[in-house]
Amino acid sequence: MRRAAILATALALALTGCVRVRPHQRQRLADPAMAAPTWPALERADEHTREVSEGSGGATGAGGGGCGCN
Amino acid sequence: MRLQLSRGALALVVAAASVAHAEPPPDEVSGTLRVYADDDHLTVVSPSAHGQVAAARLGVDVDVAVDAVSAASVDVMTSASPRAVTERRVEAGLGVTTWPRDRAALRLGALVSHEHDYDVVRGDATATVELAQRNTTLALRGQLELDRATAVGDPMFVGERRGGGLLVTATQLIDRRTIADLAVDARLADGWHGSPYRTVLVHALDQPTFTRWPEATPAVRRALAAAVRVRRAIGERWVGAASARGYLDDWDLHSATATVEARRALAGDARLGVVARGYLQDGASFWRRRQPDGATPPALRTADRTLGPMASAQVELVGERRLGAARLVAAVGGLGLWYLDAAAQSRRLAITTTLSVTWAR
Repeated sequence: MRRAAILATALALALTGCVRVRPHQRQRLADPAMAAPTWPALERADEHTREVSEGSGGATGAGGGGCGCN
Repeated sequence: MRLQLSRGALALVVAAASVAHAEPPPDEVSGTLRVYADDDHLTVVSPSAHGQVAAARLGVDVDVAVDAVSAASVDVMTSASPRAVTERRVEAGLGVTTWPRDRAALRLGALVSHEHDYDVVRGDATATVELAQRNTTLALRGQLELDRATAVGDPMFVGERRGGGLLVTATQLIDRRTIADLAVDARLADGWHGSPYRTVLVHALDQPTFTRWPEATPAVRRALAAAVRVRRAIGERWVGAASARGYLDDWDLHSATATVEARRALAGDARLGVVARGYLQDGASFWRRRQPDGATPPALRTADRTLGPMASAQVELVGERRLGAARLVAAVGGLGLWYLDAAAQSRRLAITTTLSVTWAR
């Protein structure tokens, strides 16, 4: 479990080294289909079904960062 | 009767309102109707509503949901007769968001869920910040929860569980067409995890009879889940997404999930999408298909099929149409659940339909 947490942290730090996308370059990123979740009500309902039907869950919701589009 | 709808050692009912947007989102109100029906004679009708408003640097969001269940299923735990039963669960959530500065948000949320024999109270706090010219979004959510179960026909029974969790998410713009997300979720629950209506059968030695014993699970459950998702715009009309999630806990239950999605823009401000998801888990260390014969059962024992080895597969078709300020979403899906080590009723097939209408200003 500790190893998984260290790996996830390293991956998060690695993501910050990606190419910087300028605001005028985010046209496709601003597409509503690129939002996460694209259909929030649907994802809520699906996640609720899974939580009671399966033995595990988590790592969903919260952040849901967008494109940073202006 | 306690429904499994608010079950789970570490169940997390995700609400879109739990997202703390780094900038005020548009005001909106939405209504959703979800119907679930499976071949185990379980039908769940779930209407819900969501509203959010924001002014200056303060926003409020509200969620209400109802699960109306009609069932003659072994997964609906009841102390009544095995004939069809109906039950209702009501849930309400409230959130307040503030934006102390540009590109940063703080949200406090509370949720209550009530059935006549099961109650949940939860509070959470989420902080979101955008960095590097909004190329990076970081969010941190902390959550505390209290579950309380009673039992019909046993006024002396009370089972309580306290839990908490920490969720960290990072979103990163990779290039002009690609976004990547990472989520890490750590949870801890301490207390009662079973069901007062579910018993474990033990075959008595040298006797043709069985005895029923209550479930007994560890009091503490620690879990860690991590998910990675990549979304990419393909061409001018397509968007694709893929995600993978891993899970493990100290009950020795492990799972893996993979999801792929494709969405295509159509003429007239419409969109069509398909989602496919596969799930696989092994069983908790104390899961047994059949309890060993004897005068007494093992110290840890459960009849909960969701704690045994299982797999699931889901496919969902989604259609969306925008009409002015309104957004209509309709989805129909199929879900298969296979309990690989269950002695009986090892498969369940379900159909889900969802209709949602949103007005945004």
